[in-house]
Amino acid sequence: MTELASEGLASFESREISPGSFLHIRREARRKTSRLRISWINDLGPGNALRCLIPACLLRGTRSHPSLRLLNRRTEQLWGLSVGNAIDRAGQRHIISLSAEFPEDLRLPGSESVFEDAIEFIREVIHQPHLVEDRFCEETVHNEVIQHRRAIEGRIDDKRSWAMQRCLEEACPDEPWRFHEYGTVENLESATPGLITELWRKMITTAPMHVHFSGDVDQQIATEALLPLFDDRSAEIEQLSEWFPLKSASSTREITEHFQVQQANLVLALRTSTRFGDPLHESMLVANGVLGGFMHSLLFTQVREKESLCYMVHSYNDGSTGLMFIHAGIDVDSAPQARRSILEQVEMVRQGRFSDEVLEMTRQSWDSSLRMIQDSPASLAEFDLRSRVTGRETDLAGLRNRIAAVTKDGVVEVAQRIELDLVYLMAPEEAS
Amino acid sequence: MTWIGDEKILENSTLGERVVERTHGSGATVAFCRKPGYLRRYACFSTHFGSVDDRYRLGGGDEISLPDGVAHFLEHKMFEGPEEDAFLQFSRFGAQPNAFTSYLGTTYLFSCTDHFYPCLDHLVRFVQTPHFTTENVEKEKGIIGQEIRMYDDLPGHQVYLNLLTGLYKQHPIAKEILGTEETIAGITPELLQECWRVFYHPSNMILLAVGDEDENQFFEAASRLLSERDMGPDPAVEMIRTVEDPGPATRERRESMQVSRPKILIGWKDIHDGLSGRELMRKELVSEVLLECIFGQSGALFEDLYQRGLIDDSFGASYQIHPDVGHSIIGGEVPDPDALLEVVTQGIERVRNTGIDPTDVERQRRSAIGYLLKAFNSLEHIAGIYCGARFLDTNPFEVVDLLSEIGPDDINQRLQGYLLPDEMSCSLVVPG
Repeated sequence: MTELASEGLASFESREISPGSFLHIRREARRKTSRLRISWINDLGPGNALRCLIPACLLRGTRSHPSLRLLNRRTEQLWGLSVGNAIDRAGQRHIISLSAEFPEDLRLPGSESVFEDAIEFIREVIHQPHLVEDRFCEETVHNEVIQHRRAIEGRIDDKRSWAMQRCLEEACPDEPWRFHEYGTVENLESATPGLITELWRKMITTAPMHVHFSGDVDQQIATEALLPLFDDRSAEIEQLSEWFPLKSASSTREITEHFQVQQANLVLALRTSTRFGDPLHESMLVANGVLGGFMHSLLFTQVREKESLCYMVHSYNDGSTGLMFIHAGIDVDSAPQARRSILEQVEMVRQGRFSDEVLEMTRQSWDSSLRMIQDSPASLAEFDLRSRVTGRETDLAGLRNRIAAVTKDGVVEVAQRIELDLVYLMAPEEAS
Repeated sequence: MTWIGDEKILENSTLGERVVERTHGSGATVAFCRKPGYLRRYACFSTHFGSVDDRYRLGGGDEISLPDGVAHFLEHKMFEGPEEDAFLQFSRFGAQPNAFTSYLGTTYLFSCTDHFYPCLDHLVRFVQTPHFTTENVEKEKGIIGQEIRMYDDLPGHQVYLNLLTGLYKQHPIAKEILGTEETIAGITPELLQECWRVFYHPSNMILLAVGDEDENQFFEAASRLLSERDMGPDPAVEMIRTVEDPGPATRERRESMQVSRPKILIGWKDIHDGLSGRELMRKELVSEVLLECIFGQSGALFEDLYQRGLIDDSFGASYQIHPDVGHSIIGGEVPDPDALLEVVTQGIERVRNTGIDPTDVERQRRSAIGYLLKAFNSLEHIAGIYCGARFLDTNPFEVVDLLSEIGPDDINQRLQGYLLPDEMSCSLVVPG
C-alpha cells in the first residue's frame, strides 16, 4: 500500500487570478487522463433558459473548426478529447460549465502529445466561437432553442425527477431555488443571435469564474497554459444576490397529482433550518444519514426491508437551502402506510431511538464516501466548486473530522429542527 | 486447497494495466489488478449466471427451465442472512456494497477505503451462505414488484426492451432481466436453493479485486476464504442455448407513454457462427468503428440530422455483443421518427456505395485509444471489462492490438452484409 492511500491526497491549490476569477490546480499522477472544468456562476432566476443556450452554441463550432462536424473531428484527432457542457444549480446559484478530459501526454504512443493542443482547443471554444458578422449564426441559435425547448419539455419523461421538482416548487413558491436550472420555454422565446452573443460576452467576462484542472502536469506549466482561459475578464464582476433566508414550515400541506405511471412517487419536503456554516450542519448530515442516506439507515431497513413497501427509499439533505427530501417509489394503495412509516422513522431520529451502532456506521460511511471523492478529479472538482459557491468549507479533511466528532446528542438536537412542510404524491391516473 | 496451474498475466503497455489471474482449487477464477495510489478498493464476486441462462441439464438428465427473473431474484435474496442483512456488516466497515444482474452474470461487490480484507471475507461468506425462507421470499416479491414498476415507468427502458423483443424471435436476451410480477410469483425457496447450488459453485465464479493492495496478500486471503466452505463437487451443469433464427421478430413495436416526444431505437441483430475469443472481440471492435464512422458526431449524417432538427445530443449508436448473438442499436429522442428512418436508411446506403473514408477509420482509432485510457481510470470499469471478457472467453487487453489491426477494408467488408433494411427492427415510445 502506498503512503498516498493511508494519508489522503492533496486538494486543489487555488489562486485568484483577478477579482472573481479563480484557478484551482491539482497534480494527479495516478490517472491516465487530465480533466478540466470551467464554471461560471450566476443567480437562478427567470433567465435561466437563455443562459443555457450559451454553452450549447459554443459547442457548435469555433473560428478554426466552424461546424459541429469539424469540431468533433478535432476532438477525435485530439485522442478522443471529450468535451461537454453541464447546467447545474447549487442553492440559489446557477452554474454553467464546460468540461474536458484528454489523455496524459506520457500515456500516448511515441512522442505524441495533446496537453497544449487540448487547452488551446478549449480556449478557442470559449473565446472564439464560430460567429457570423460578430454574432452566433441564426441557424445555430434557432437549432439550440429547439434542442433546449425539448430538454425542458422532456423533463416530465423522468417521473421521479419530475415528482421531486414539483415537490420543491410547491414547497418553496417564493424562494429562489424553486427555479429549475433548465429554465422555462417562455424565456426561450426571446432568444435571438444578438441577445445570446451579448449574454455569452457578459458571462465570460463578468460572471464569477472557476477553472479546475487535475492532471500529471507541473503546476507552473499548467498555470501558464491555463491563464489564457481568463482572457478578457472584466474588473467589474457581477455581484450575486445575498443568501436567501431560511424559512420554517407553517402547516403541513398535501398535494396529489395524477400521471400515467405504474408506480406512485411519494415525496416529503421537510425544513431543517440548518445550512452550511451552522455549528450543527455536520450533525444534520449525520442525522440524514441515520434516517435515509445509506443502506443501514432507518428508512431502508424499516420501510423497504421490514415492511416491503418499496424498492427505493432515501432521504436527501441540501445544506444550501436547508431542505430535506424523502422519496419513495410505492404502490399507490400503500401511500398512507408508507407516509406513516416514513414519519415514524423521522420521529425515531428526533427521539434518539437508534442504536449507537447505526450512528457509528453512519459516521464511517460518511467518512468513506468523502475519502472516495479523492480518487475522482471530477467529483473533487464538483465538491470544491459547490463548496465555494454555497459557502461550505472546501477542506475535506476538516469536514471528515467534524463528522467524526458528531455525537448522538448533536443528532437529536438538530433533528428537533426538522419540520414536515409538504407531502407530494404522484399517483397513477386510474386512481383518480 | 491451493492453486491449480500457473498464474496468467493479462497486460497491455499502452493502457499500462496488468491483471494477474489464477485458478483456485475450488474451481474459482481469482484475479487482481493493482491501482497504485487509489484510496478506493473494489472487489466483486461474480457468477456466470444471468438472465439468459434459462434452461439447463444436470448429468445428462432432463431439461430444466427456469422462470424469468430468477437470477435477479436470487441476487436480492443473497443479501438476507440468518442473523441480519449482509449489507449491515459492510456498513460497519464504512464500505458500500451493491449487486447487479446482467444478461450473462450476477455480480456482488463492495467498495471501501479501509478494512478491505474483512470486507472481502464478508463478501465471499455471504455469497456462499444462502438463507431462503418462505417468509423472506414472499416479502421480496413486494420489493421486486416495485422495482419492476419503477422500470415500467422509464421510457428509455421500455423502448430498449421493446426493441429486443422486436429483434429476437426465440433468444432469452429479449426477456426482462427482472422478470415480471407474474413470473416471479411462482419463485420458491427451494428453487432459489437449487439455483444457488448449481450456479454459485466456485467453478462458475470469479473473485476479482482492483485497488492499491499487495498482490500476494490478496491471493493468500482469497485462497483461504475459498477453502473455508465445502461447496461440494462441480455440478457439471450443461447450459442449453436457444438458437436464434435470422431476421427480426417484428419490423416495428410501438408503445404509448406519457412522454414529451417520441423515443426511437433502431436495431440490427447478429448471429455469430461459432466465433469465440479474439475473433469475437474483433467483430465487436469492427462493428463499433463502423457505427462510429456512419453515425458518429463527426460524420456527415449526424450533422445533417442535427441541422434538420431530427435528432439531438441524445442520438447515439452502440454495439452489444453476447456469446451467440449481438446487435447494433442507434436512436434517441426524435420529433419525427419516420423522417429520421428515411434519412438514416439513405445514409447507410450512401456509405455502402461509396465506402468508408480511410481517414475516418484512423481518427476513430485514435479516439478509441483515448476512450480506453479514460475508461481504465475507473475501478468499476476495469472490473466490468474483465468479468465481461471472461464470460465471453476473451482477453480484454487484446483490444489495443486489435484496434491497430483494423483497417478500412475490414469496415467496408462488415458493412456489405450488415445494417440491411430488411433486417432492421424499430421500437418507438410515443406520446399518448
